[in-house]
Amino acid sequence: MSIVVNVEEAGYIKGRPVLRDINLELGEGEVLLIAGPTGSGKSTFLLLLTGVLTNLLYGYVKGTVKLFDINPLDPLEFSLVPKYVGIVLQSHELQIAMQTPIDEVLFVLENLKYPKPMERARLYLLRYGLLSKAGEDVENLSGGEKKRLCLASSTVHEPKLLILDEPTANLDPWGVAEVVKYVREMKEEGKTIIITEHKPDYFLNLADRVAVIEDKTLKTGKEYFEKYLSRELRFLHTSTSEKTSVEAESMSFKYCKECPLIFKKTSFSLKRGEVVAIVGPNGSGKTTLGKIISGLLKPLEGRLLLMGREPYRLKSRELLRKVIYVPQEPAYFFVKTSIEGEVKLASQVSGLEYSKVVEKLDPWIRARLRDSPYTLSYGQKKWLSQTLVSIYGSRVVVLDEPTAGLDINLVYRLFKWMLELKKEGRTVIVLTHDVRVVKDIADRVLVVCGKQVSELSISDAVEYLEAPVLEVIK
Amino acid sequence: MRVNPSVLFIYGLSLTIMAFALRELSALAVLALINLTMGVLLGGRKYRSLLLAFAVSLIGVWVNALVFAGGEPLLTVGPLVVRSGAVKGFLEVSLKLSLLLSATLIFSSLTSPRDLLKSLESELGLPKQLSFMVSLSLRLLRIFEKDLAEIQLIRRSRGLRPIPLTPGEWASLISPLLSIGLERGKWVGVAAELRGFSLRKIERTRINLHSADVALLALLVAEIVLALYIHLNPLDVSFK
Repeated sequence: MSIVVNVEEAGYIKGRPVLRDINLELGEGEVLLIAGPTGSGKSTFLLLLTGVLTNLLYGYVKGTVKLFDINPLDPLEFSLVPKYVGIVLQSHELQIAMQTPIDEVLFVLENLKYPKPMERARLYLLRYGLLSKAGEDVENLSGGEKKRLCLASSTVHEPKLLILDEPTANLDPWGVAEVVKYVREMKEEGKTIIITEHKPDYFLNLADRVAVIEDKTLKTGKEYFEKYLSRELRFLHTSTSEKTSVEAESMSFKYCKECPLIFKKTSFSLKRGEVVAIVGPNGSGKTTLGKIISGLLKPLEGRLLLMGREPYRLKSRELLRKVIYVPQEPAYFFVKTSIEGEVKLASQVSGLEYSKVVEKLDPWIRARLRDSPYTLSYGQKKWLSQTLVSIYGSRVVVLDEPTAGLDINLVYRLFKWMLELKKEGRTVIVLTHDVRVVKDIADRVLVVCGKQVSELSISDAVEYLEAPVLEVIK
Repeated sequence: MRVNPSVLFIYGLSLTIMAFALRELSALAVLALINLTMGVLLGGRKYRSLLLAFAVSLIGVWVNALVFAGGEPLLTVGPLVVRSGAVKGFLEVSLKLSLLLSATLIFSSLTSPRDLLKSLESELGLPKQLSFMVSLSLRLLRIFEKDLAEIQLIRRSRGLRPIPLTPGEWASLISPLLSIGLERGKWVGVAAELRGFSLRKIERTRINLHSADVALLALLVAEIVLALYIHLNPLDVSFK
């Protein structure tokens, strides 16, 4: 067995276990796919397995872990873990330490004292399609390219075990297809692979074993796993108002004089009370479009009207009454040092009585009013930002990748919430790669591609988003 | 222009030390003028948000000086009294901040994290952990720029001023920056450990100086001499 885990309990603070009764044996060359609710402890399990939990994060583990022929829990043997393991963290922003792809890959090779590191680094960049961008600033790479860079730097030393934490998070369908393709190649090379994923369907055909982490424990077997596979969440697409909420006419945009155009004389319109999915490849300009609609960026030419007004000309408070933008990274959204402060600000701006607003909050939010919003988990931060959006009551809500990092049950709750907004006559604009948004909740789909925004039918949009991945996971 | 990262580090560190140690306005002003010009020319475009944050922070420094500094009244506008201590305090702190900003701009514009890491650990013999922290700060500075721009945009979406003016607004800008920055720092450290950083072996090498390095070191010596000279022969700058 390449990996043997027998752990009674593990966590960050003694007496408050995140994981319990974890027993796992994984053979060499096996692929284990793990699903589970947001915040269930999937990432903690990976940190336990690599020894990071005890050696770097001051956590505790009661039990034993064997990783090939080393004990990663032992502080002396922990330093040997990188020789056996390559890990890709959920967010590439949290992983890349160097400024260029070539430096990032060389960093690993220099650490592990590989001979001819430059030659090997170039070979791996070529393998992951990044050689032409070897010297580019990593901030200029697309999301898919950054993920490929993380894969390159995690596999360049030929580890026996590859760990992928949410490898498809925030990737467009083409990026997902690439990741699936690389994972297949690594499986064929005989590597042991552990993948945690909220959209496990992508890797199901590659997995030798499946497991879930729920109720603090690891449960292996298909019987536990099925409920985490994607299922139809379809909400009825109700009829919408004929009134226009957003209208763009021959709109062009670029970030600076020397920058390339993001939009060139594009036109589209959105109606009140509809859920509109805006799709398109990473880097095509979805987020930019969301920010223009939200009055945060000004079109270069043409015009964009939000309920008859140019949004970037509106004063902040007036703008907020009309539109609110929720970024992909929820931490950007908060402006107060406590949840209470956030709720108070939202109540005050929307003219609601604070005590009545608090009564309607989710119990978990009420219990943590004094806490800083930044201490919440990723899923909780997302939920809090959506709660604040409800309080503000803005007529147009722009959500940037709202399903990223959420398990299927939270996605279901999110869709129900969107439906409520829609029933209130609000326009919900969802910038997304997630085909579930298109299939299950969207009334209309716009695609951003080639500097234009054009409309797709729901069926065409589903095919547009699914085809690249289906081709690879067949 | 290629400058040895270790030389840049020495230059940046020396500027920082002088910013903290010097009190003479004239010395600070001369150093700030030279280095801010260099810093803005080299990194002004790349780090626009940093310059903006600096400009806005000067408002805070001025308000703080107005409220807390003593001295002779220089100007009275209604209830507002501008005292000599306020002007002196504002100038001193602003010039010190300018020097720190210049050091950051010069340092971060002329090197990359990996070159810096290698140079500090093998040429200057600094511990690898310290070298990594310093080099990582270069990478984080770029991301910090991105975060700051994003947070300012989102503030408008939340009905607030993109550029904070009051202390409370500053707190609301800095909190997410710190929170995201700390999270990032922690996980980049974890990722580095998992990519064999603790196994990294250092081979000491000698510093190779090129003409740009010599020029920068010469400039540093000149600045130190100038600062010492002004310290020993202070110019009479008063606000009475």
